[in-house]
Amino acid sequence: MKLVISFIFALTLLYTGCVEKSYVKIIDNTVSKYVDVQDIKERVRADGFMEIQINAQNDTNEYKLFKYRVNWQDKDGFLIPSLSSKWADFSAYKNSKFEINVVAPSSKATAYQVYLSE
Amino acid sequence: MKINILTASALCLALLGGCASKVSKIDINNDTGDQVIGLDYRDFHEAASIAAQSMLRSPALSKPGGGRYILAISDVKNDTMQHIDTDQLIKKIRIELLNSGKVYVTTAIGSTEDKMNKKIRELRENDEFRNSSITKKGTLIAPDMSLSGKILQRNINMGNGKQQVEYYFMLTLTDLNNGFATWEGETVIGKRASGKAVAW
Repeated sequence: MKLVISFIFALTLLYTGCVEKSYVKIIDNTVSKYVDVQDIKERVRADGFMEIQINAQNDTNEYKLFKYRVNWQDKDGFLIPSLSSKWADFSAYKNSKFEINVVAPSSKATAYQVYLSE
Repeated sequence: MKINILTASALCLALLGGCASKVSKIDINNDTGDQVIGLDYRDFHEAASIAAQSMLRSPALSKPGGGRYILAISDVKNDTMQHIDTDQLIKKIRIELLNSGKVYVTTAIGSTEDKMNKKIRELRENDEFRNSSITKKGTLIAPDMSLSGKILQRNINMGNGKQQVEYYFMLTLTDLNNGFATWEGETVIGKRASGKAVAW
């Protein structure tokens, strides 16, 4: 019985480990100095498409331009090709909150990774 | 003497080879190259990405009851001074919309018409082809929606030896059942450069 429980537990870990989790990652130290990610909202719309909104703030006294891109995966962890997977410019006004809003490229998208860079 | 001529010739050839401009491949996933005053692939990607995201966010492409709309590509005019193919913009949008599951793009009609749609049906008159293998009548589906637009260019002399070039990517989705524009999008890409730079 203990062996069965351990086996099921190991299988669960293996499965959850294979599917990429959703996150926002600042890959550039320069960006982390002025972008403060405060909240990540996600919802599934009526048409089945996931929509995410990253709420962040530029606490500096300068207008900043940076880049972001989003990778989307389906339930099996496979990458869904999309225009949003290439870098896009984004601007943050000084001392202001800003939002990055992205809709998934397909209703099959279940996870995302957002990268922010200089 | 002969050796000197040979040495001199070899040196000249080596110099010429070094002066020849080197070609390098652009890493399109991480292009840190300078901006150009004309439209390049980065601009088309940006405009297409913004338009596609806006369309996906809009209820215009959400068919009541589910399913896909049939989309025809209408005229997308190049109103710039450059020799560009508007497919550089439209193709990216088509791919994104097709992969979204919200539309099928028809190539039976419109600016992206595939002549094979018509040619295959002309084979009905040709006894060389087995009639049962030819597409039946009444199988083409008429489009529900149409995508049209234009790419506009404005050049402005800034008066300080510089010029400003503005590119407007304007697109419209029309519901062909009633003629209503159900989605509209405009992306502006602006560039500034020396007045001597050529934007065509």
